Amino acid sequence: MLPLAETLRQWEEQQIVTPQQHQQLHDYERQRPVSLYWLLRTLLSVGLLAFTTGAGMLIYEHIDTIGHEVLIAVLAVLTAACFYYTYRYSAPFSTQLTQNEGKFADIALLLGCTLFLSLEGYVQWRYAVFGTRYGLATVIPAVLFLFCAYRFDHRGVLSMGLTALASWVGLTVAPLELFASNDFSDPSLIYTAVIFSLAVLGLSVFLEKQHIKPHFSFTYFLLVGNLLFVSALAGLFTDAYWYIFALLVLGAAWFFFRHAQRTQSFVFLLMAVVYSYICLTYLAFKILPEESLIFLVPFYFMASAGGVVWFIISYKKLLKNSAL
Amino acid sequence: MKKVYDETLLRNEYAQALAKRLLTAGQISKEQHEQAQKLHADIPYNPNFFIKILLFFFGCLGFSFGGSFVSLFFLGAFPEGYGVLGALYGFGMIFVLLFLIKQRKLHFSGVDNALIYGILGCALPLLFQLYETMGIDEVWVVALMALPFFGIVIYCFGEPLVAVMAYLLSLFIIASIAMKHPLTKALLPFILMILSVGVYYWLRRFEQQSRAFYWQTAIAWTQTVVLIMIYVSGNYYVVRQANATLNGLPDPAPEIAFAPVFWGLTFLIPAFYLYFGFRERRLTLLILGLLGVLAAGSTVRMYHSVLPLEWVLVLGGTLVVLGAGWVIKLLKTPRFGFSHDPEEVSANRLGLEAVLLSQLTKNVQSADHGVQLGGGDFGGGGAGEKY
Repeated sequence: MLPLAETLRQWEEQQIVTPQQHQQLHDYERQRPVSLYWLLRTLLSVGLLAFTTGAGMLIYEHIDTIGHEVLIAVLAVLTAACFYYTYRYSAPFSTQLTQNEGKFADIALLLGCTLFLSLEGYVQWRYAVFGTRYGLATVIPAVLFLFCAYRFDHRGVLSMGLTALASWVGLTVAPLELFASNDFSDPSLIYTAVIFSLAVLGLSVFLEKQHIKPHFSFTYFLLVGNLLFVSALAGLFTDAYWYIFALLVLGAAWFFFRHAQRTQSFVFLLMAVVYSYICLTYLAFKILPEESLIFLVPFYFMASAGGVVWFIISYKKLLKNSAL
Repeated sequence: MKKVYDETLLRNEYAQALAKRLLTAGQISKEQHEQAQKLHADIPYNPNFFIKILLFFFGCLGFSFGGSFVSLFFLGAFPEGYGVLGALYGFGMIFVLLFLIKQRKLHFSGVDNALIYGILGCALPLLFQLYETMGIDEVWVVALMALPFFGIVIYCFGEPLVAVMAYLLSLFIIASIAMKHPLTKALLPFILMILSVGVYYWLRRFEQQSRAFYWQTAIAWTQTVVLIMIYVSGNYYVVRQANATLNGLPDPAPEIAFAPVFWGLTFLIPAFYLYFGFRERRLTLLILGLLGVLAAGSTVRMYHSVLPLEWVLVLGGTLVVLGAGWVIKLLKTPRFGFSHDPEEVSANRLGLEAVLLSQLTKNVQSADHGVQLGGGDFGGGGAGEKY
């Protein structure tokens, strides 16, 4: 750690620190403990995941000897235990970010929610309790998860709740399967997706304005934002009213750009720039005459990409929140 | 040759981070922190991770289409000259890169990385053309010809990925030469391992010197990859499979010479990593050690049916949870130079968590309800089908 010694020496020369403090800071930096926080957290989650997967496989093999009723009872007890533990060891409700005192409450809640999903699916498969009312079967976890997310202040459970809510209206928000699982050649799906995401984003903005869990808006924007952009782009490419969708993409991009600026969450800047770039590029090639494309395509991409880079590195201040 | 990035800026960046850390830890006062910030005010442009991705992406896009734009004008006249043209384009882009770095104080800001890779890539067509005219069938010769360019880039820029690539290229060259003689071919894993251990120790010694500061990112990345390669070249499964592939032996791969040695290495290397990771408080070594234990376990299971997978998962999961829980309890007060202090939740981590949990929910739900829900929304499901 040689830059440390040099920096401290410089501070001493500039009389920022006294010689004694120099030594003290040097020792502190050298002996500062290494935090294993994330390593241990990750290990806990991985261990739990391995355990539940293994247990699931074991049960699957021995289902005949265990019996469905026993299994359902065990699952139910485990789920209830997880929720009880969370309830017992978590901080009381607050509209702000809460410091969870019980260190494992968040993991217990996550486990409880996952178990609940399995339990519900199992009961439905075995007894068809919901019959053919599948809507009810998907809306129950959505409501439960969203409630838990707000009550126990858990952003992970919020993303589970949003996923369940989306599947209630027949959509997939899981970013890795946005294309594979949503059939964007179906116009009604595009409309549903756009309306759903606008409604959920609107709700998120409203809640943020009311100062109810403002830190949740990151999850809302990330999950639902991708759905909004992708479905609006699908509309642009396929729908007769493509110009409405073009305006929608650009409008949403502007909105996400402002949101990124305000919250300093630059993943939204990434989304805004990439999706609006796709939109504008599509529009540009829709308008340009076809015969000149061989020259225009390389020129367009060279100039526009260069332009984006130059814009970002030159107007750093635009990206900074002026209020900060 | 000289260093391209301004080292003063890099030191300022380090000092600012140090001051901030010391302020948070309550080791220096607010006034001292302010004075330090003022003293080290001039820092490179180090944007947020996502902005770097953006800059990298558009840097690559601009660079490659710039190349095709240039070739539109010249390639028609000299179709054979693509190698020279590529090299000239790359050479020209060096000035753009240097200008941007100087003007905008870039340092691994995404766009400079993109241009470095692009410029390095521009040298390749010419090298391949040269190689073709030489009329020999030895791919490692191209790698050897490319290596000096990598060296120059590493010296001037300290770019981490280029450094890693250069190390892997060197391994490839050595391995290709060693394959020529039956004796060295038989000893290939040992040669690669000794070489990597040598590189590791050289890097460890070099990083102690004050002039190593400029290359610290490159050193850290290369060290990690070197450690991975040391384990890979000693792992029993890898050696056995590689031996069969390199000698054209039939599948399943037959037993290898020195099998007990490789079995030993499969287990000893992770143990070493864990031990030194603990003693030297190096998180990278600890993580690699844990991954190595996992790899060693999988290697055993590859050849001996010890336990059914479900029991491995149940017992292993229990062990990991109990172990992690025990360590967390132990570290309530910091000891052995480790602590369990909550670290800041970064946006990357938060985003990753949201994506993974959303995926998990979707998988469990589609496994539960399957196609019953209709509407094409649950295609593909089925992963995570537990019951």
